[in-house]
Amino acid sequence: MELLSHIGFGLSVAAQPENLAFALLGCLIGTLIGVLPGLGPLATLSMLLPITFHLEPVTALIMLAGIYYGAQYGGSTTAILVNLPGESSAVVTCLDGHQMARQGRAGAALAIAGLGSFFAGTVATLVIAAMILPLTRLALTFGAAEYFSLMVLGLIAAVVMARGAIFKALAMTIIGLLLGLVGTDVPTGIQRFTFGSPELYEGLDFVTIAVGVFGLGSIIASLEAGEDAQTVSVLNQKITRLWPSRDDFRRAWPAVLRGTGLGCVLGVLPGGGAILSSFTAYAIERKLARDPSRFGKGAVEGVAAPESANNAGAQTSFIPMLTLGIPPNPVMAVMVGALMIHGVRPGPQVLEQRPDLFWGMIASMWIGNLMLIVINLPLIGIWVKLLKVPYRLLFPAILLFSSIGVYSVNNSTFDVVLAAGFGVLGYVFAKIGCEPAPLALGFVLGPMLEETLRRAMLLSRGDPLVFFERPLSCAMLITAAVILAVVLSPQIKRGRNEAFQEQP
Amino acid sequence: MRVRLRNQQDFACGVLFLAIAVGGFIVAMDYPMGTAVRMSAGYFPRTLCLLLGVIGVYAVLRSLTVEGEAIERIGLRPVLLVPLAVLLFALSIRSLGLVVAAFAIVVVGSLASPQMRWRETLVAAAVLAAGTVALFIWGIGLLIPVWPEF
Repeated sequence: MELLSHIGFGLSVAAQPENLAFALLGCLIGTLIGVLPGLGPLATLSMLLPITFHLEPVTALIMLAGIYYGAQYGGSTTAILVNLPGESSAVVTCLDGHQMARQGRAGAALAIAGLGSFFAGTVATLVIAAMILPLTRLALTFGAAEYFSLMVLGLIAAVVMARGAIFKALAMTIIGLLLGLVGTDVPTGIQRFTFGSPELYEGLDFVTIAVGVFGLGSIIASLEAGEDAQTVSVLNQKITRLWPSRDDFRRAWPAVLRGTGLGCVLGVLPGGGAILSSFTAYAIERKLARDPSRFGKGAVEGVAAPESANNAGAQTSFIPMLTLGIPPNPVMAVMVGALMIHGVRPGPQVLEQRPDLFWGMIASMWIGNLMLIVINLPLIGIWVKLLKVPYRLLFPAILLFSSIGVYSVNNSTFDVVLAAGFGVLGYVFAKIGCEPAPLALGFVLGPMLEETLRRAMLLSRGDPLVFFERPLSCAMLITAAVILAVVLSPQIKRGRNEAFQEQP
Repeated sequence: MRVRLRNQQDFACGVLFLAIAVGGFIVAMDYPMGTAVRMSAGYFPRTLCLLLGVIGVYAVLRSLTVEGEAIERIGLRPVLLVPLAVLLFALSIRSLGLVVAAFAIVVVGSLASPQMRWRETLVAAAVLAAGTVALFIWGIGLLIPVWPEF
């Protein structure tokens, strides 16, 4: 059993004391930011990115991964108790989870969410371990054309998944791609968009943009909206019974299975990940239910399925990042950034060169899920208290941490000034209804997209048909065109708007 | 004929996209274009700017025809104070050290919230300054001065 020996090797890496400690730290931070509304994994990961510079690459990756899937656990706590999505993938959990809490079944809802997530996390870990080898082999057959088409597909998928008008998301992607071009153009040696400042020769740093646009931008927007008013306290109710009833279990377990399966599949797709998985899982449960009217009134399936799906999706979205080096969503784009800091270029070659990185992180996911179930269920009281910390104390701390983070990447005050500028830009984007997530993905993929385009065109002697002559590449471009066409068609457009309106 | 603006948000989007597209295109004019076979530094950015410009024009036209959301009032206090706090941090971190920089960013940043209370903020600043020195300098070993250097 090849697979078992790999997992065994991974466990031996993940169980090293330092890796265990940072897995725990990552899970704690993940739960924390999952619980706190308004602070998502994307901003947090980018703030902590510079700190991981001082760790071993595998340790850094283990910690960052823990933050992402840890946030999926924490997000459900806030959704259930306060009816606010602590994390955007927990939006649908609010619908039934909070109703359960109102009916005095908060404990059951939390337990189902936690246990469902744990089951999904375990399955997703095995799926990753099983899929990595075949996918890596497939990736080695990829040429420039396939990579280009895959990135186009990923960018289009991110556009489709973004909230708001499609044309805005497309524009944000292009702005991201343009920002990615800043710096020295390697083949020609020409400085592009640097305006003569040597600090920009190496290009913009992902951390600077992410902290500015996501971190600072959302702080300004929240302050303007008067965030403190939002921290309502439905929290005074005591959580008495944590264990779900037998009836809850009977209804929940098929939903957990379906959610897990769905999340594992959707996580791998370009544009996929936690958010897509949880939305789809909820919609499917409502379709399958004998009595759909129970949904929105505390149906346990409405908690079990999306919570399992978002955790499974969060984990399997590592697959395309690890095997192809192409991030399927913005959070994975940060992961690519983290690997690059350590001089590891994600892609199929990593499996050969750094097997410890691969298997160590995968094994740590299962250990992390085990930690999270302990962090989230018996210790739930601590997190509930945290929800009571007012925003006026929270945001200055976030400001300070992110500024130190940006500064320490290159010891550069110039980067901090840039981040302040991007903060204003992020605020402007929020003001005019542009969601910035596609920008982050565009920024990371920009240089790679240009490079593969150039290479493919050079090899084909300038014939753009090369992208359609290779079957895999052609299939990916057609898929991208089809999803874009489907979303732009008037009927679907209406449905999509309704789907997104369920978000408060 | 008078043209009425029906959608402030889309209009602002269009103007912003067009500004970036036109500005980017003008700058990218300096980079050689190359050919489709051998693309040079100007090819990709100019193509992107063209696409962005098309979207910008679409957004402006749409804002004149389709009803949409207005831009809500701008809260000047956070818009000015949050970036200012970060700028003060950037200015002070190297010469005045982490403690001063932390106080600057926490106090000025807190002023952005209308619920700010002085006593609470100063205590928070002190705790955060001590905490970050312990974590980032003693813990991780970042090379940042703690106190002002004269």
